[in-house]
Amino acid sequence: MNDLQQMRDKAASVFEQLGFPTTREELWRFTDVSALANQEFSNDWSPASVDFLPLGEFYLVFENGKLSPEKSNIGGLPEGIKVGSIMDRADDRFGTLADTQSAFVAANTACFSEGAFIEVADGIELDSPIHLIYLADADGAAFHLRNLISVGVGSTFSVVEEYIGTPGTAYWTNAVTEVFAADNATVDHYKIQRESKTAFHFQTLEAQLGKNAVFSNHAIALGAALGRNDIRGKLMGEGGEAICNGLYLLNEKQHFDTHLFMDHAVANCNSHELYKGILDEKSKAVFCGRILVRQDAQQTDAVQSNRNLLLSRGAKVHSLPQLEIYADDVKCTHGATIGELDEVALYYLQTRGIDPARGKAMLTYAFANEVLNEMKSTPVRTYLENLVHEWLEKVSG
Amino acid sequence: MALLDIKNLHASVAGNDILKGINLTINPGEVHAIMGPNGSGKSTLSNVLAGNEIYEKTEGEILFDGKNLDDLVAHERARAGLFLAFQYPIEIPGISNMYFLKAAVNAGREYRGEEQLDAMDFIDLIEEKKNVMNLRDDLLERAVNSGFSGGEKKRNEIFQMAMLEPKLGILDETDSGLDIDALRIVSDGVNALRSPERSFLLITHYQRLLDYIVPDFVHVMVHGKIVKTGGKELALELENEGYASWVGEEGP
Amino acid sequence: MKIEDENSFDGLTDKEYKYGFVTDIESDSLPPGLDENVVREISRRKEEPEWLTEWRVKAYHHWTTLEPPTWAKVEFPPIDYQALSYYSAPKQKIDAPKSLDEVDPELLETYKKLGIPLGEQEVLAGVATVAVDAVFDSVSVATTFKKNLEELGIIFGSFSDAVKDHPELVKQYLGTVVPYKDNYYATLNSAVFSDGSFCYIPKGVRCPMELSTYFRINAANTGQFERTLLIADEGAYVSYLEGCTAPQRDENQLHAAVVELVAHKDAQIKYSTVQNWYPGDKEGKGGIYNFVTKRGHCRGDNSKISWTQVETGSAITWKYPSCILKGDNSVGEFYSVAVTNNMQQADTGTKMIHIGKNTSSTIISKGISAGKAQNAYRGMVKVAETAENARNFSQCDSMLIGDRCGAHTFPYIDINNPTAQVEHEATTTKIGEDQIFYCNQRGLDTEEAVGLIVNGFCKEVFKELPMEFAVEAQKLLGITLEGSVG
Repeated sequence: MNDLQQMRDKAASVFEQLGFPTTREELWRFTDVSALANQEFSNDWSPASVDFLPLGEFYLVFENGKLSPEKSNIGGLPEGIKVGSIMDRADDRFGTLADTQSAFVAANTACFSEGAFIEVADGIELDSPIHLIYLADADGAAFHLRNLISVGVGSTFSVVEEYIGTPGTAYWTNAVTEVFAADNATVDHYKIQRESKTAFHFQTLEAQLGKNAVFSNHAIALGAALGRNDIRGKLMGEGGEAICNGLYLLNEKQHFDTHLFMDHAVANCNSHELYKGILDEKSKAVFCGRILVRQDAQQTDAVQSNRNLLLSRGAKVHSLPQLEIYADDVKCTHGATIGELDEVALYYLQTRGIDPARGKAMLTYAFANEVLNEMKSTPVRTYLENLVHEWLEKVSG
Repeated sequence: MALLDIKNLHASVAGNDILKGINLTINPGEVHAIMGPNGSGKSTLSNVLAGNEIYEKTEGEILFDGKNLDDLVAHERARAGLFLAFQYPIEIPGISNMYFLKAAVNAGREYRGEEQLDAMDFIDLIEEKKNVMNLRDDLLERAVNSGFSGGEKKRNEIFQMAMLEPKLGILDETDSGLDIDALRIVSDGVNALRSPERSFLLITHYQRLLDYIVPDFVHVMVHGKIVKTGGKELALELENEGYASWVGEEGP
Repeated sequence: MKIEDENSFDGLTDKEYKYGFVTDIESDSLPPGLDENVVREISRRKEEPEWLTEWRVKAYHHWTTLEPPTWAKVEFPPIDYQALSYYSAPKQKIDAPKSLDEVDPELLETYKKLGIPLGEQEVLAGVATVAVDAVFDSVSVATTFKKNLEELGIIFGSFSDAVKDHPELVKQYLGTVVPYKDNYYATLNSAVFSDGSFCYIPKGVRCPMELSTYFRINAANTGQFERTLLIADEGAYVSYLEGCTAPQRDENQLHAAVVELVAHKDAQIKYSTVQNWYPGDKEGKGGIYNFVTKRGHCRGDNSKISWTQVETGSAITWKYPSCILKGDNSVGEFYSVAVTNNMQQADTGTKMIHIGKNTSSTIISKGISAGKAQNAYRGMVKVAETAENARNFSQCDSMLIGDRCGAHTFPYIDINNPTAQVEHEATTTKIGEDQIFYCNQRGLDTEEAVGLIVNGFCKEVFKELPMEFAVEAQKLLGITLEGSVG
């Protein structure tokens, strides 16, 4: 195991050197974190009184950054699956995936005191997702959460990370999750971000895929005043497949940023990315999706799409799909659209007797639903369908 | 009383006059066919009837079931019983066929003052209608027309018509792009819906469809006007002689 | 439309860079180095009015506060700006020629080799239908058809002449599209630009012929900094062509030009470029650094600016011909083919800034990369809050030939109005072996097959070019990709 203290010291000096990023840096051009940088955070702990709904048999609950064994349920886990605190981890690969040159990762490495550690042995299949629930309502607190998920050869596994905050509370979540999917593993990762709309939320998710591994990430963002997901997929074994989908539903003055980086290092891998956003009021979304196809990554098939729906004047979108390609025998496409609802579809609905107001609501839901449809887990999908409906009702009401 | 009464209809799209004085009366239970060369205005007529706002009605009057269509927008016309089977049905990703149909059926029922169908009643209705069109169950679960083949889209249109039970069904080149088997399925579906109260307007380029759905009247449309009306034998005549003699009469 | 001169475009089909010759001509140059005195000296030699001198000096001082941009996906050693000479003029230009007869025959010979019709005999023979302004090193040397154009009120000639003859127009428009503070290279250009072309099309005039500028860098260790200013007044129309070549030298040469276009109400400007600066040799030695700022301002309602570029030359290309769509219903277009082979690098694209209502823009970009070259599309579509019903469609396609090159796409989409509809698509493809085999089977050799497929890939852009330029562009493409398929 790495010497943790050494890692922390190193990370602290990296953070010292970098500081919080500024909008002068290309990767942070559209996201200003000075509001976060100028704030002091406390370490005082208190229990959280936030409701949650477990989406599977097994779940870990973190209250204001601390694991709550009382609220959690990991009793009766099948053999071969270990779920516990990151502080009890036993994996050399800890910290080897996360970008050490990122200020947020550095801060996390230097400061984290809790998170989940999941280890799935080879050849295990688990239908029900493990639900990691992070509850927050401590004003002025910072939560540096660190997760490590490692799924063994040929195993099938799904995990949900859900962040829930009490409305009106202001805090900072800074999470880092590393996922290792071994050869032939299938890993479904869901991220549901329902932080308080006065909170800061930053997460770095790094996934590494072995041969013929399939990794999917579905990132749904509803909360946070200022939020950002940094997602990086590394296709390191031939035959790997990465699916990264996302949906952001924003209103008020929310600012949400997704930076997605798909790294095709070897041949014969696929990646698919579908990101959609609905923006109301004065909200702002940033989407930067970079696909890198390295010289050896022949026969890569990479598809990325970012679609945005603006519901009101004042809403803004920055979309930056990027292709960086160094191999010639590849199929890569990306697309981005921003616009209103399709008039032709609206007319078609009308010819079937559906009035325009209803038609608009249906098409808006349909727009979001395309992302939910891609989710394999029925309980997660149903849960999210309800959240999306609620959100849309609030917005149109 | 006529179900549909079109008097001196003129319409334009993007400032170009397309329809130049259409007169047409359809009584309950009748099947009319409009044939004509490409660009004669056939699809414009179906879109004007359905209430597509891209098309502008510039002159004339359309009465449908005693109502002036000027007073009704597209969804109101649909609820009143006017159904258009599109030539190119649009794909709507994200809305399942089932959900879409339930919304449409209940919108029509509400308009007619009938009770809303609950999920169970609705499924019963689907079961009753779907066999007619030979639709696979998974197509009902899929998003509206998304990933459907050309033939499946056309069958889905007729299936929707069966579900919505309109007074007038307008089929806009429904036969285009169909192979002979699909054409037979679509035609059987339409024939099953024929009744003394329900009328049809078939818009087609070829006579072939009319072998399967036999019309009471055939109209020839050229340059935005109906230039000849006859019985079903007129279609055969056109098949043999083509539109050339008609097209030549009046320059574009 | 065809130029029948034996020495004209036919030479282009030869495989090597054909314009690599150096013209032996005496030139009047400033010694290398740059400071305020050099800027003032350039202005003095050009007998410029004081306001222009001071404008240059302001630009110079601002430039000294700037750092060269680093965001583009290009790599090159830092340029020593003190080692460059900022002024080189063919000597006899000091007493400007009154007619083409007085132009140095060496120069005329040079342009003949390039296929630029400057000789009066061609004019008389009615062969040429293109009015040409030729810029040799930094100075405009000859303008044809000036008289014919003057009758229509069209002003077309060298920038220097415009400063002398139409100072009020130059003063009114200079720097209004690309301000002197715009960016590192544009600011440098503002300080030291030596000449370029100026064109004004008056109200309601449809320019009856293509206007053309031909740029050539000849002298060694010279930077070329031309400035082009083109104004289409209300209801005017003009189609403008620009071509470029340079001799083969081992050192890199800097070309930092600025082009400003202004389209008033109902005016249309079509600006086409075939850029064939010396790209350096196979190992990447020598070649032109082409760092150019081109921007058009659709100032009036219903105006339209269309950029078409075929970029086959230069060691490094850094340019983003852009449109500011300020007038309501104004239209911006960008059609681009960028080909890089061997060690060439290109980072090119456009900016479409939608400000007025119902503005629309189209971007079609085709990037072809071969050898060890890097080819990036970088483009911005911005819809301001004021731009109701803005529309954009962008299509960026890349083709890779060989597995040592790179193709990159970096769009920036920035939307601030909910009524906007913006669509961006990008694809990457290679030439399929089955496509080549099919062509082989029909009797085409592999090189011909590649040429055919590549030309097909670029068709949408070529069709925007005036006929003779399109022919030249297709041939250039073949030359650039020579030897790229094994």
